[in-house]
Amino acid sequence: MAPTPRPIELHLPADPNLLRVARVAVAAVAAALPFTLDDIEDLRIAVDELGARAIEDLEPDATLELSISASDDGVTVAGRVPGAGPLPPLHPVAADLLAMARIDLDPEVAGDRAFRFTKRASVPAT
Amino acid sequence: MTREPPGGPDEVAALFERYRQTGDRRVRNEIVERHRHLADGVARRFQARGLATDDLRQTALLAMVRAADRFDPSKGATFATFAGQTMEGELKRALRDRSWAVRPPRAAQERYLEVRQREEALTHRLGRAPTVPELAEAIGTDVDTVLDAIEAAGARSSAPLTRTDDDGADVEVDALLGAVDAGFAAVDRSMVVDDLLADVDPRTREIIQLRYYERLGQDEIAQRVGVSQSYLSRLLRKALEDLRLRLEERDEGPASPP
Repeated sequence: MAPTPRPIELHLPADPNLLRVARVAVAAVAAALPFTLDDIEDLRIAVDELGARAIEDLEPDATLELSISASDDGVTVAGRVPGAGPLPPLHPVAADLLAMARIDLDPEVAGDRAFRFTKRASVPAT
Repeated sequence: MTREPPGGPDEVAALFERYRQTGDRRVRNEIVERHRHLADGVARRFQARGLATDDLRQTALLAMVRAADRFDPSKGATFATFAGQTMEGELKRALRDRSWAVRPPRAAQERYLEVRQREEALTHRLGRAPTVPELAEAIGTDVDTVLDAIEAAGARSSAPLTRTDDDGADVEVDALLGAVDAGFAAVDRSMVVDDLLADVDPRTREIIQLRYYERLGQDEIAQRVGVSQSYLSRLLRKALEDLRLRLEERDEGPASPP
């Protein structure tokens, strides 16, 4: 299965229970790459924690916009909630979980409640 | 004695209520943060048993996060008890996985475990962790099924261990032990059985695994371990009796050290 040629765009209501959709989507994209199960678990943890932070305390009528794209050796996930203001502080447990997930988190993403990270495959592409 | 988290049990119960209603990860993370000392304590107890300290702490913390997702306050146990047992189970499993090839089938995890087992075998063969497409091919399934298994494991419930009885009925392994641990057993009985089996002698463990996890008949097990069927029957009875006694001792014993 070849990597997805163009990004997948997801628009989800700001409901934490719907982050399951994001987890499934990133896993599906990653499965086209040389990702191991642990890589995919990392990816799922990262999108769950960062997505949850982006929609924290928002009403469900807000929308989490996710873009999931694949390169030869990694998956990049960008998320934002337009008009929702700055991100809330990262909870210490979330910070630990993200550290475990071994992602490249972009520290400076412009936009409201925005994040962007890349998870690289631990197995080199052949 | 288990140290109470800041805010006390009522506040923790209120947090769980809120988490169940909203799914808000910050609430869950707050619950985990308040019990973090338990994760650190469990990780410390497993030091010097073959895993790096950071790995132990990460495994324990992740187990606690998953315990928070699965915990049902209405079952009677406290979260500290449930999380403590879950973390110990995860850490023991992490250690045991290296030498114990047979794993108990749990309804919600069976396929996930099959995936993980195959992953381990492939890792040995390839000299690296397999990719998901490689795993799917090895199992003879498609990528979607592997991904479904991962998702199912993330949302897994605490299903009890079962075996098929001689008359075809499902029987819980711990029911065979004939004892009930009022709060904890209802929450995650399989962890109790895991813990008890970890300490029995290798032959007894093998017999119990073959009978109740692999669901082999007594005649086949007798052949495998080289004893008569009637002797095997006595061994099984004695093994279950011993486990029952140890379960009772465990229930009546002193609380775990902090």
